[in-house]
Amino acid sequence: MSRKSKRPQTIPGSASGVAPGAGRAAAAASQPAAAFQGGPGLWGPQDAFEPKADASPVPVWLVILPILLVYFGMLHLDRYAGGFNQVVQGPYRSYQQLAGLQPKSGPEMLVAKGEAIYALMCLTCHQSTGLGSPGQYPPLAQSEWVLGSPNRLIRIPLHGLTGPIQVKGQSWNGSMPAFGTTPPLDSDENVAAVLTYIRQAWGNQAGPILPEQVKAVRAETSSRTTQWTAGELQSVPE
Amino acid sequence: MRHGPLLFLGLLGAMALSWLGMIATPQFQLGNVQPTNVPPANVLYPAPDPGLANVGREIYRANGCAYCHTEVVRQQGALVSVVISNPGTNAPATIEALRKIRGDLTAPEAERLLAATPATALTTADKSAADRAAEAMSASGAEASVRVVPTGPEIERGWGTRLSVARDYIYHAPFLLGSIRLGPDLTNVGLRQPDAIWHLVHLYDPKLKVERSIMPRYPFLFEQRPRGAQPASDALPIPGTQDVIPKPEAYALVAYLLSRRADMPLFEAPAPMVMSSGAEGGSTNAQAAATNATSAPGTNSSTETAPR
Repeated sequence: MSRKSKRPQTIPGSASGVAPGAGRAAAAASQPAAAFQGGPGLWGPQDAFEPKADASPVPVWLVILPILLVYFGMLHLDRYAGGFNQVVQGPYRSYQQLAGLQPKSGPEMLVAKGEAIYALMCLTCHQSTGLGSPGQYPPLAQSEWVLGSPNRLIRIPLHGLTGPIQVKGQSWNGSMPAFGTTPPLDSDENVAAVLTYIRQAWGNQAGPILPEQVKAVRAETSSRTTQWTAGELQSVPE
Repeated sequence: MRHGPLLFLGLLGAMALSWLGMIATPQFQLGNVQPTNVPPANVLYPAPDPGLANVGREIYRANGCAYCHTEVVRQQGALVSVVISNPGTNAPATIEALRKIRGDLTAPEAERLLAATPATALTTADKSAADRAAEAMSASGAEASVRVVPTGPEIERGWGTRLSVARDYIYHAPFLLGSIRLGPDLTNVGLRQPDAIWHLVHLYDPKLKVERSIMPRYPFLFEQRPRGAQPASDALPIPGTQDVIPKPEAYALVAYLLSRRADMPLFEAPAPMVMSSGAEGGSTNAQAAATNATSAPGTNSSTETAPR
């Protein structure tokens, strides 16, 4: 019972100074009259008091508990709901994770393989940034030779390059050995893979090189044993 | 009533929050899942079930099979494995590359592994390590690819190759997920047990096929007639003095069971593909899996004798 609940009204007709026996008799005698003098109650004076809902304060713990539940619930959803993405279900946690687990399609496999071959064969000179080394090895990033004609590009790793050459407005005069007979670049797929890779790495955006193109170039230049020069390459049709 | 509107709002709010979380959000998230074309063969998945299997679904539902059997495969996690499908021609380079990614292999062991392709070179939880290993193997001249290996007790048990996802249930009307496994899960029972006669005998008396079975018998799906000098041509191979002839309901139910399969790899449920000898493991394998997927329901339902 709330401390603020009203006390029942005193029964009208009962006096405090009257002796008990007489008081009971007097009360009994006055009951029927009192019943009709009571409050709005239907069955008797005791019904005069009607309880009312009160605005008692909510206990603090009852407010903090749902807040904590909601907070930890949201932490759980952050971790396990997969961003509410339609396709993220089961043990998978995110769309990116699922996309990474898909089997790689043809062109993607080529680029991945090309990256590995570049790391194996080309990285020591042309560097992992594709910027080469000033004075020694020309850059591949944004190089017009890389982004330009496939015919000219394919010939370079097959037979090497020597003599002065202009790359991105700068002059280079070095010597690149032939790789066309060195594994893994003795295979057309691998040459195509590494050239496709350099044509789309470091901000380069050029189309892939196909193994068929490499095969055709090998066939055209099957008798060549010496390195290319820039002039010879320029005279190769695009 | 004092505070009547407040009480009403409080009650409404609690129910609304619950409805939003458990009905509305999942409907927005998953309600419009459609059949999809699965690359690279562009097979439509899932396909609607053949007619007899649809009749069988009603019989499955009517006989309360979902009270003891489930139709959902759960998956605990996923590993990735590097699979070498072709060792290539440059043996020294591939052996060296293999030994770099598997430091525990000696040269003769590596050679043996490469000779027995298709072979799993490496299984790991680290996807980028697997990618690098596959690239290294590819660079050395072998053909290697990264496959997803779902893990979990239900996968190991052979109940499925991957978890069940929302797309699997598009044509399950109503879905008969079940809730308790007094009997095995039936998501892929058409793959696990493609023999129609086995299913018919098992339905007639499960103990004939599984000695310790607690599954009740369903003899009312069958007709029993006294056996003549020879068993009838369409009687089940059950010894005894009675010929047991399946009724159309039994054939339909078995057609439904044989159509149960959910092994197509999806974007949301990567799964290993069946190995086949071929250049690019991915494309040919998916095609083989896709052909199996589209032809299986047809072939399975045609192995039964025509119902009378």
